[in-house]
Amino acid sequence: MSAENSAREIIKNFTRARKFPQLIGRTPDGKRIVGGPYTLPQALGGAAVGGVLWLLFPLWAGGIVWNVGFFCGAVGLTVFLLGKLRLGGRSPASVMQGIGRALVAPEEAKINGRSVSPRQPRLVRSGGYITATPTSVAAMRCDAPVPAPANVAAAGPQMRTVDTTTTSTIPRGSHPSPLNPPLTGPPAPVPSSRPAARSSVKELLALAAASSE
Amino acid sequence: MEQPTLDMAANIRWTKSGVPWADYLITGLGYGYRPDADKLVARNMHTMLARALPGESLLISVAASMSSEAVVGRMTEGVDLEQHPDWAAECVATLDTLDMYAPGQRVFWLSIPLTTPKAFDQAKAAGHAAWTSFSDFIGLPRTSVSENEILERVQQADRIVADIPQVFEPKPATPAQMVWLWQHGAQRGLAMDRDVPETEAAPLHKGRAALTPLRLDEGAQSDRPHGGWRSKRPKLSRVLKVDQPYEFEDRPASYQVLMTLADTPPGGVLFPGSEFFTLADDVPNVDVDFALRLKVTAGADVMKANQRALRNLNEQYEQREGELSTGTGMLDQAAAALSEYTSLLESDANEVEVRWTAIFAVGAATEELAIADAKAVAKAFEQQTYRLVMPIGFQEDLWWAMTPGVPTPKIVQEFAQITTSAHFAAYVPCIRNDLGDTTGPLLALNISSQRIGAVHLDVAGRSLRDVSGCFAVTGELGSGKSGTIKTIAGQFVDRGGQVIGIDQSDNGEYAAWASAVTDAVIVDMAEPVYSMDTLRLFEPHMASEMTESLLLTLLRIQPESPMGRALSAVLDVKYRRAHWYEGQGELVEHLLSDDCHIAHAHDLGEALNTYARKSYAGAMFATHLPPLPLDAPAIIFRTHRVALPTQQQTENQHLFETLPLEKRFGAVVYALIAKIARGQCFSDENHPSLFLVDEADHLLRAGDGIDIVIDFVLRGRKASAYVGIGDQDCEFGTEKLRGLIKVRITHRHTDKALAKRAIEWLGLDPENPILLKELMEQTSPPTGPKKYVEPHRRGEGYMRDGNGGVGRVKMLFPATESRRLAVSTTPKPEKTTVHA
Repeated sequence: MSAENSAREIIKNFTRARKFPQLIGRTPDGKRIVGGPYTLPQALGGAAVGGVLWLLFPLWAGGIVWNVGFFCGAVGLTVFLLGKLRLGGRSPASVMQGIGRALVAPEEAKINGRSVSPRQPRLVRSGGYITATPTSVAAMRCDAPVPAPANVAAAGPQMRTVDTTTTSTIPRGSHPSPLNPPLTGPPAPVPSSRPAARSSVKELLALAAASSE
Repeated sequence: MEQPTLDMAANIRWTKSGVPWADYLITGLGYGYRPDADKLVARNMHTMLARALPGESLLISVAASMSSEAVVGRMTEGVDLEQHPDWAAECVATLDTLDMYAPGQRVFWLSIPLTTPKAFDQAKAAGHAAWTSFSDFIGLPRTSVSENEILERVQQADRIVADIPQVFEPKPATPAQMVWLWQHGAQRGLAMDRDVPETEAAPLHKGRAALTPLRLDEGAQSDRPHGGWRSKRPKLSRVLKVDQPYEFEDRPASYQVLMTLADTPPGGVLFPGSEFFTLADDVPNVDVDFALRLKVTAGADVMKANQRALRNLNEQYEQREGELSTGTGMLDQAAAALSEYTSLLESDANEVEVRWTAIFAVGAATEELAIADAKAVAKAFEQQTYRLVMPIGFQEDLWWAMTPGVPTPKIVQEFAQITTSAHFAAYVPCIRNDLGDTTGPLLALNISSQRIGAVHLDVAGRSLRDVSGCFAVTGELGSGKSGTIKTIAGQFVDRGGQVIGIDQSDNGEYAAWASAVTDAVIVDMAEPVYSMDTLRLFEPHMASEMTESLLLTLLRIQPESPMGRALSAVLDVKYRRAHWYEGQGELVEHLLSDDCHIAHAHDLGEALNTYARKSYAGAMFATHLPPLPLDAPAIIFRTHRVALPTQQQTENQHLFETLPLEKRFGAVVYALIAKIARGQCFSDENHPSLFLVDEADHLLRAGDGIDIVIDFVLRGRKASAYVGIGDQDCEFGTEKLRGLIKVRITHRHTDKALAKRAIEWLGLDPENPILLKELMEQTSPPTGPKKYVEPHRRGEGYMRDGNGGVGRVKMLFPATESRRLAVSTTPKPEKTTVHA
């Protein structure tokens, strides 16, 4: 045989040598099962339906003919339908598992194996003393809408209340403009326009003075 | 499932399961158009690969879409763009060209879980993994893997890989490459891949945080409508939506469909012909990744499993006894398969069992597109009787199964195929059709399959890798041969090289091209404006040798003859220094003068004067012409008006002796050009230069022509001197020359004999009828009544690169408008033809 012909070899997989359908056609004592052989899903399905009907007998019981007919019909139909299943060599349990997963899939996906549910925006109340000129949140909203944090649903950062001491009305990240020139070098120090911070003692004295007026 | 990798150092990744995995990048074997003998070798190498991988392993083939920037990055590598603005402009223009074609490449990745044989070490590894998970949970800082552990694992991995055939060139993957693979899986089908990071430039350690957290959404449930009852209804879509919510920049979601091979042709397939993984590249515009989960078991263990299968089979015969169906027939087939399988294992002591599951993945920017692509791929497989399925509910599991570091999911085992290593190897999963160099100018697209690849050809860069940069292009008239040569030469000039070429065309196509791309010097040999006198152009020693050789050929005298001795004496460097004469014109005057006392000098002077008086010999003998500026970026010698002897006149002595003077001179012109080219190209090894010879037959038949060309091929590499040959027939020059040229390009040949020669020259089987038909009829085919090659079919051909890879290519002419016009425009032929 020439080398060329020997190269034309038939390539096979031998999966079927190991994986062939497992059927049940006889009882352990060697007696033939009526209507057999059955596949494992058929046997298990038929047994399951039979068991359930047996347990729920009072719900469907009637005359003897009805009882026998219904029981045999239901079990037979189950076995027949399961026999029609073409799973392509797959395990029925695996197929059911896949369908089950698809049916109960949650709306929100997992990130790195964990569910991440978006937190609702909530108000975080500040504690301690307010050390700057108070400005109402409502006034802030009227003057300059503050952009909402990006990607709240995904990352779920806590939405905090606006710092009421803020006096600037230029939103962060806005395009360069005469009011917001692009940063081309290290930021130059700017004299603070805010009142100098006061100590807690000074704050208490101020409050006391205000209450006495 | 959680991302399993905890740490990456060297080529090892430590995982949550406690099992470290070693990752390698491997190179696919050249296949495609190779002859059957090469295919058999490739199969044998795959057999050895399978046998070298005991236990479980994961082999991934990534269809990496290459961004235009990645391809252009290869074009700019090693070139100072500020010094070469024309090349920079070409690179920028190429970005747009590439966007139209979206080229890609296949990357093969081998990942092997490393076993821990000792119980103590197993406990230690498990303890480390558990502690890492726990410390992450409670927020403690991560403890890194010790240097000793890294070293031990690297050595363990290297011992396994040492058994892999070296043709696969296994290279340890770096953490940066592991991140690249992860990122590719995250954005599959979005054409956002960067080039695979270089091995040298990568850091040696990366933590888990380097792997971007992904949101895996089986069935794309997050795309359900918001609100209403529809939002509660699950989508039963067989798609996996993958996005990267934690990334700062907004990255689109990748919709992916994972398919697994459920069945192969029932009767088996013939080898060669069994390479079904190549089908993954056969669907136009769809990038298909595939992964193979392998489990290799030694023959002795397999025999035990076969014994169990035999007992089970007998039991089934009993269970199905008396069945009135084809059931027993099925058992008979199983028994036959089991018998054959057992005998195969028994006949070869080294044979092993390979359980393999193939997973295929496609991705797209939308769910509908991903599913459509997946169906197209499944259809392509179905046509070859391979069945792909998309198991519902297991898309995420299959996605993880394609990820290194993940233990084999259950669904993978369900689709496992069982065979021997020799039979598995016949599927040759690790093959490639790559062509050309890894960097350099982009010459063509690799169209060997529907998966388009970029073909780079770095003529000058090849010498750095100790291989010759010389190339040859063949093809019939109008097939695109000269376009290819001009494209390569244009790239060479733009990157700072020098081109010296011969233009024999009446319309001066090379002269027009050279003038368009650079400050070219055009020399018409019939009406020279520059002197090509070798005595004027080169330093005295070289000039003396070159001139002597040329004049001996011109006068057809022997070196030992009286005139030959006189010539040698008068050209001697010392003599010339003592009796100075500038060029050959002055040499003739000197020989005829009384100052010359060399014997037979007068006779020699008279003989030379016969030619020196002729106008067509001005290039050699004129004294008033300025010397040829040899440092010009391009020098083109036009020889269309040079009268040449026919082949018959050259081969027959008596005809040769009766040649008219102009033809005698014409026969020397090519030798003169070749000598000038060699003299200039070999003069500076730091300045790459290319000698371009289209329609090479004239040069190869002239005087020393063929020897000079062979000299370029053999010695040019060290002097950065290269030759590019063009001819309509592949039988140019001698067999030696044809064999020495490694980069070979063939365009269309419609003549059967020429086509067969071309195929053989490429190293393929000339009797292959499919290949022959493809070259003759489906390569840049002229169509329509006017036999016109449509623009999108121009430049097709075959290429054999310097590594022996052969593939089908489509030449990409320059992307810059002006250069493209220079390559493709054919100037009007000149009306006047003056025979010298």
